[in-house]
Amino acid sequence: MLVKNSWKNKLVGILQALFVVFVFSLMYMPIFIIIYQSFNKTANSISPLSWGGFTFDNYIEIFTNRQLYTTILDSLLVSLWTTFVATIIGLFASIGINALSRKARKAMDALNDIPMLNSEIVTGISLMIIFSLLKPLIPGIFGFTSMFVAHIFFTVPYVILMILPKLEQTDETLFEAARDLGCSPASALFKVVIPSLGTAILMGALIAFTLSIDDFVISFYTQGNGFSNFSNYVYSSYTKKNFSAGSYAFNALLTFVTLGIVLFISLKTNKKGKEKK
Amino acid sequence: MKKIIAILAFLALFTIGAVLVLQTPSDILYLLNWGEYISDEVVAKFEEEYHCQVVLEVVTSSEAMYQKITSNTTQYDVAIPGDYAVTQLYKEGWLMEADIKNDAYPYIQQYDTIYTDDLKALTDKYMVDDDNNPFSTYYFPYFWGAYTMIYNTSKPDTESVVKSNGFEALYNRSLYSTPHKIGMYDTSRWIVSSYLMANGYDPNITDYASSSHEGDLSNEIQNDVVSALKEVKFDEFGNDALKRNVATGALDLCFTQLGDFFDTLALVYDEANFDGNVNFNCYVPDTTAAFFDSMIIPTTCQNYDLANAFINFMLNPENAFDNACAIGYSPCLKGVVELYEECASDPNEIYFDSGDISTSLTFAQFLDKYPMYLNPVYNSSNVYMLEPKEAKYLTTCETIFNSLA
Amino acid sequence: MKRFKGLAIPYFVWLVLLVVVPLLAMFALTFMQTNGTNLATAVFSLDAYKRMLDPSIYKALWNSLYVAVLTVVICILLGYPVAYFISFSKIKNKSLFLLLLILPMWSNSMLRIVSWLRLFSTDALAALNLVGTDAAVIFVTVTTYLPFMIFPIYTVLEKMDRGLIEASKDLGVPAWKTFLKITFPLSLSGVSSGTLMVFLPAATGFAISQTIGQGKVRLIGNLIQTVFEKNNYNFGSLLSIFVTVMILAVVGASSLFTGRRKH
Repeated sequence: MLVKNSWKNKLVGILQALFVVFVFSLMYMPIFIIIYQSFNKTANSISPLSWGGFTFDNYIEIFTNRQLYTTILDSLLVSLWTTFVATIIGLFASIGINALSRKARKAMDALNDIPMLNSEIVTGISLMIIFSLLKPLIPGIFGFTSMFVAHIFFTVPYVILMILPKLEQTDETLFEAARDLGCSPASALFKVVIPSLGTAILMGALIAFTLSIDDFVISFYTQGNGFSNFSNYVYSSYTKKNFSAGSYAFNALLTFVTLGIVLFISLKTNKKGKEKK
Repeated sequence: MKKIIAILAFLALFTIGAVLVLQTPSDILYLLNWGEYISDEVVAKFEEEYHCQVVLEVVTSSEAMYQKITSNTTQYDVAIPGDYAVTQLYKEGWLMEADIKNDAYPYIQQYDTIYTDDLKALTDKYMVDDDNNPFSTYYFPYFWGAYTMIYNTSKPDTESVVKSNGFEALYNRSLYSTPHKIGMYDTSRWIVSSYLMANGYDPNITDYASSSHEGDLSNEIQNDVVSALKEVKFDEFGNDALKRNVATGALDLCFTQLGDFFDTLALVYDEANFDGNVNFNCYVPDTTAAFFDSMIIPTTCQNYDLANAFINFMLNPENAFDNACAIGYSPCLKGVVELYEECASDPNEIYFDSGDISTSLTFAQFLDKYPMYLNPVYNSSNVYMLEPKEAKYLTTCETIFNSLA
Repeated sequence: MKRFKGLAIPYFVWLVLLVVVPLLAMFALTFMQTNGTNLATAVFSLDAYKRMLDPSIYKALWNSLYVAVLTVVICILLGYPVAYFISFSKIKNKSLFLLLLILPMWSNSMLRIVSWLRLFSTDALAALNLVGTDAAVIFVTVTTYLPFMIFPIYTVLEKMDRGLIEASKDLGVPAWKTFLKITFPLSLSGVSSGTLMVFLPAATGFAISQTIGQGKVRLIGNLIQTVFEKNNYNFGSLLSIFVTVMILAVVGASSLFTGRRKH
């Protein structure tokens, strides 16, 4: 029976692999185009995607085109700080939510879901309205402040989504044991509970960064005073003749660097796992 | 804890680094502009001369410009809205008068005599308040142009149809012997205006019978526009992408404004393997509408002196000439027109440099081939301008456009 | 750890300030005629509600539903098999697969959309006239949000008790029947959360329809965006609240339907 079916199984296996490759190539097509354009001398030519020769100039442009590097730095400033602050807020909010009574918990969950479920455009607009109402009190609110607050706002729920389930699995006795050994509640929290959440916190931070650096719609409504981000730069200038081909280069670079960091971390944790064994 | 300190240290270092790079001098001029509408070199020159930084924000529509100025998210020192937005802003009290008494701003002081004659005639006629009084110390024309059609010359009959039918060439597909791909600008008000002009009407009327300019668009016109749009089924609604698509042949013609044409021309001459053949052209019909964008100072302005200095700087013909050469829109200043003509008198002075002398275009050739550059309405006997309209009218235009969804 | 309850309070206040207050402010704006958020010149008006009668709104809503539903269906058709094949394959390093799935998301989404646009406009593909069609908009939406469908399905399949499938096999049940009776029903929670994660952004986005749709595919997101661009905060707020209510209704319905897992 097995022998008879083996060629059939193989065929099915090949077909399956082909299908997976096909679907992945759909998702990767734009990435390939971006990498191709990042080395293309005529990336911004009027005839799209025509190859004008290999060059590194687009990468150099990241550091020489003022408009481009300004938006890139703006993006990174917002995203890095958002990642840091949103992770901390998300961590402590999770600890707080975890301690709530059932009823309060339910209300909190529903409220926390809204930023994730609501459409980005509505979230962006509601934040813009709040900021414009605050404008008379804080004149310079639009710009870094508004975008930073907005990004924290929409990333924290995802951080909580990563941390909370892990926290629920954490053994209550761990905390109690630390208490019995003479730890204050705070130090038990910091020395025992939080370290046990390591991976979840890291995942939360990663998701916050991913969402923040890629955001377009919410930043569209909360930018101002010359402070914008990379997505909005692309949106407002991709049809223009001075659209910097450095955009492709920056994006390709970002993809490579994040890939490198993640591979490094996963290799390191793999090694650790093996050593333990 | 150590980790957190390390992360914080990294963030702090990054922030300091970023702030150093983004470092802003104490004097900042917030400029609200259209994309690709000011030369980076001219801005750099201004920044150097006045030890300040120009922070640029761009919008894609007149409405967005109006919204940004009035919504207060940013306090702009100078903005460059279109003509009817300027009138509306003025009437609603959003504009500040420029400092015309200050001798430090000689070009601002000459506001009444520096613009080209055809433009001046238009501003005198259209730029007035409710009591017919001009307010020319509140706005300073920057570039101007006319509504036009860009068409691809690869099909034999496109040019002749466009030239003999004006804007009707957009709305009547039966004029062509072969199927044509037609693009329309995605600004709803322009669609209504282009339809009215295509049928020989003043684009500002709200009713056929009374030729009134007031109030909402009559049902009759609304229905006509909707049925015309449903019949012609434009192949693309877009803005910046339209002109590129005509140049590449993806569209045969489109409705747009003159500056877009020169912008695309510059783009084509800039192509790596340009062979000297331009396969598209533009035509400003006999009945058309002109427009101009003006530098204004909003009342929310934070740096009035620098705003005046900026306007004065941009009214200096030398700077305006550099700016016009870089941007390619039609200049408003007599002084700039003279500089262009001066350059054209030297047969070797190159305007569009394609990298190869045989395929480049000199000033003389450019002005000869495209006379509408220095005067967008040189060939038009019926020149309107779009007047400010009330919100109801604009909502109706919007509804007409949405009904195509 | 019950003593840390207090830590939830600041976050609760934050959420109320940024979720509830704006919604109330928007609700108030729908009854007024204002210039932006400038309340100084506000007058009471029901114009926003009158404009809800405009049929073009329902057309845009219908377009959004059409695009989003088709996107979800295609995402399931493409994503489910991928998640299934990978999860049931004998590949050792499945975390690499997860990485491959996340990687596209680290590429700027706006630039990815622009890349598709450029590809569709190349000489080779221009003849197909893809740009400006529903099909192209749906296609790009699918490729953008596909990871959001594959991810939850894959996670559910990985967690599934394989013993059940083995048992079914041992009992001589054909593979397709095992799949229909056991695997698929058990993975439905993954499909439903994937559906939600794809449906919501697909129905309310405006970047893809604007860029790839070339102004000819107008979704509710485009409508809201242009209304705010025209400075009409009153009608815009009403549309936003309308969309929020619709989303909550969809989410409520789907949680009733599948009995959404609560953490």
